Order: sequence, then structure tokens, then C-alpha cells
Amino acid sequence: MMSGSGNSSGAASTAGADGRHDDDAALTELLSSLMDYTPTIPDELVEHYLGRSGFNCPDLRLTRLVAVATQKFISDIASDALQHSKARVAAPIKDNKSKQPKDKRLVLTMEDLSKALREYGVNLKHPEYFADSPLTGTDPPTREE
Amino acid sequence: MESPANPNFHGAIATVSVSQICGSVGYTSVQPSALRAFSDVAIRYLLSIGRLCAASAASHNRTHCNLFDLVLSLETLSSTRGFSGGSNPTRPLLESVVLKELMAYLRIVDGIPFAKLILKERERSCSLSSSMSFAQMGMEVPVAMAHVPRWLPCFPDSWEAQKEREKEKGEEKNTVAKEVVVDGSLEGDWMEEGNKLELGFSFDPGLNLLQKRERQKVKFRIRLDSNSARGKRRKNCYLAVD
Repeated sequence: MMSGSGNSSGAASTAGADGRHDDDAALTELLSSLMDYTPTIPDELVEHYLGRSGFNCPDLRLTRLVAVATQKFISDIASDALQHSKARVAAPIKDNKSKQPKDKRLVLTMEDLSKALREYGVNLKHPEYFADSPLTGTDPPTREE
Repeated sequence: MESPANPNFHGAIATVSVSQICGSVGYTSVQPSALRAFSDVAIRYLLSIGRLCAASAASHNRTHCNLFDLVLSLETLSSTRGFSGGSNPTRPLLESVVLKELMAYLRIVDGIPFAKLILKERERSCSLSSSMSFAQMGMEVPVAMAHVPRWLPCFPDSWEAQKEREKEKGEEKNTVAKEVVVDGSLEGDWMEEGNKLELGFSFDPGLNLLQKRERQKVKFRIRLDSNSARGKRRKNCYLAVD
């Protein structure tokens, strides 16, 4: 039994070691593939903003990883906003008399963007109208004063 | 595209990048206000990553950020939506779900290069050597400044040193010019022997100029013969090199 338990612990340790090796290999592959991948956000822009915030690293692979992470973040938000816009377009039209064809062009609007960003903890509120003066919308006696 | 000197240049680049990403996702058009807000969010995300990485490195007494700092900052930013394994405080960072999602994203999505050429600012006139330390330059600190440590940048060149360098450059130009231009003085006496008129003189190049190397003197004569054949008087000039 002792030998059995020893074997099981040995097997677990080797399995753990194999798992770590696989993770290390995956990480090595990730870092090496970063130099072949061209992110949409240019390295110069990423380096500029990282430098402004105090990020200091001479390794270009980390800069590329930040660019890829940002690109993924934007891509996820854009995908969520796209789902919102598709759901809005696919909603049944109440007025059946109108023969307006469904506009198949997908436009990113502030409404869809704010709904998508809310899930990521970003509150984006778009003002409904712009007032031409601070007194617009107030009562007449207030205006006279 | 705006010029690199414009403070909104970086915002314009971010706007183009975000519009490219939106196009890759499936959008055909975008509202200008939505695009501006979206690019602002992207810039804030970049700044947040940098700030969190720098804070993580500083808390571990480091000045340079590494992969662990980056993973921690990405996990912090993903904490609003949550990620698998976030409740385990002893989780290995290199096996983070955030990193694995990035690996999967890299495998699935093809790289889209930036649409426009980025104009770079002109290189600043300050030379790299001005920011290098004494130790890096292999120089010793002046005796009068012995209290200055060697890991500090070198002192800027004084105006006296610049003047000396300009003088040296000027002397080199002059020496090069002297080697190319040959000037000399002619001294000679006209002698008339019969029908022959001989002029003997020596050519000494560079009498008026300072020379670093001495040149060999060249002597030659110009003879003037008068030919009275056929009743005509001709004068022929001959050059003979001795």
C-alpha cells in the first residue's frame, strides 16, 4: 500500500510537472508568436501611452501583448454592441403599413455602445440634445430676472 | 492625418485603429460621436494598463515591469466582469485565464496592420552621448568634481571644448585644400644668346602657403628660337624639363 500510495503521489507529481511544462510551452509559443502578429493598434501609440502612465519595459513583446489585449477589449465591446444593434434591427415592426425596407447597414450608435460598455463598468451617457444657451428650457420669469 | 506636432495626433491614430477594429467585427459605418467616445475608452484602457503595471512593479521594488505585472493588471481590469479562478488567491499567474483568452484570440484572429503610415517627429538635436553616464562612456569624473558619482550622466561640453573642436575641423579643411591647390612663384631671367632666348626659372610650389609635406622642386626651361629660314622670322617656344 505504501508503494501504491507512493506511486500515486509520484504519478500526481509527474502529471503536475507535465502540466507545467505544457503551460510553459504555451507561454513560450505565445511570446514568440507576438513578433509575427501585427496588432491593429501600432506599437508607437502603445509605447507613447504606456510611457505616459509610467510603464517601463524594454521588451517589445510586452508592448505587443498590451496592444493585443487592448485590441481584444475593443473587439469584445464592438461585438457586444453589434449584437445589440442586430437585436434592435430584428425587432418586429409595429406599423405594418409602412413599407420601409429594413436597413441592413450596421451602424455603431451611441445607444448600442453605451449598452455594451455598461457591462464592462463604463458609464457612457450621451446628452439627448444640446442647448444653445444656459437659460434654454427655463421659465419666462426666471429668464427676465 | 494630423501632423505629429499636433497634440491630437495620438487621438487621431487611436480613432483610426478603433474604426479598423469595428470594421473587422462587422460594422459598415459608425457615428462620429460614438467613434470619438470609443477611441477615448481605448486610450483610457491603455493608460490604465500602464498605470497598474507600474504600480505593481513599484510595489515589488522594481522599476521595470514584467509579465507578472501585466497579468495582474489585466486581471484587475477584468474583475468587473469576473474571470475563472479569481477567487483563488494562490493561483499561478502564468496559468491565468486572461492569458489563455489572449492566446486563443491570437490563434483565431488574423493581424490587421494599421491603415496609414505614421509620421514620426524629427529626431531631437540632443545626442545620445549627452544622456550616458560616466561609467557608460568609460570616462573618469574630473578631479574638481570628485563628489559626483560615476553613474550620473556626463557633463555637457563647455563652449571652450566646442571652440577647440571647430578649430581642429577648420585646420583639417585647410590642409586638404593645400594639398589640392598648387601655387607657385616664377623667377627667371630672360637671356638672349644669339637667336635663342632662354628663360631659366625654377618652380617652387606652395611658397605662400604652409604645407605639411615638402614637394620636390621641378625645374624647366622655355626656349624661344627664331627661325630665319625662308626670310621669315619665327619664334618657337620649347619646354624642356630638367
